Amino acid sequence: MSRAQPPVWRVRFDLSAWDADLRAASAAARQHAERWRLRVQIAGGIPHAELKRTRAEDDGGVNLPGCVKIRIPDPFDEDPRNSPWGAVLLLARDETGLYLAFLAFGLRHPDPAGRLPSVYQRAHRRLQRRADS
Amino acid sequence: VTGWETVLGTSTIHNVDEIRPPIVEVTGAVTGRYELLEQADDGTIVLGPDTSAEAIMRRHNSRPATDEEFEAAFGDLPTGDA
Repeated sequence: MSRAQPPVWRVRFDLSAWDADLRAASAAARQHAERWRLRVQIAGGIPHAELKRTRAEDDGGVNLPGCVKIRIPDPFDEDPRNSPWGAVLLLARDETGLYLAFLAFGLRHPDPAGRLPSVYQRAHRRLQRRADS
Repeated sequence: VTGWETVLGTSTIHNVDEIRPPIVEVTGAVTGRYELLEQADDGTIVLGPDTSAEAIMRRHNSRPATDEEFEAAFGDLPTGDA
């Protein structure tokens, strides 16, 4: 691990984006998300080892440069690999240094028959706005 | 929504891009950039906060990391299904 990698990454939550994503989520998802956010706040951030890079671009055209992702664990299932929920975070810099900015929360792989966007599609749209507006 | 513009009371709303949901800029009694969440036939509109990455960075007084900063920070991480 280099000097650029703290063991725990500081996280800043934009409540506008957070609230919008939780409004679109189920009651169970909201509960998981709020617990996860509280845990992140208590821990002072997210451990480096819990993060994964996003693919350059998936088959659906989702492109998340500068972002990492994490599964939101189900408190009733200790194995985070079983969680259907995830978050995408953008690496950013403020006056105190690098940190992770919350970008999106939601289902990792929603039912294709449904109309809910995945967490990756939500994040992609928010990133595209940066490029296009 | 091309060319869309609406006047609400003392606030003027200008369409500033065409990605859905559109971002509108409000000036007047309320000022700022918002997302147009709903637009009904009777003229009712529902606005929400701008949740674009650009707006988030602006609210945090931040900028996205450079490619070099990202690689230095996360170059060791696996890529894959999270």
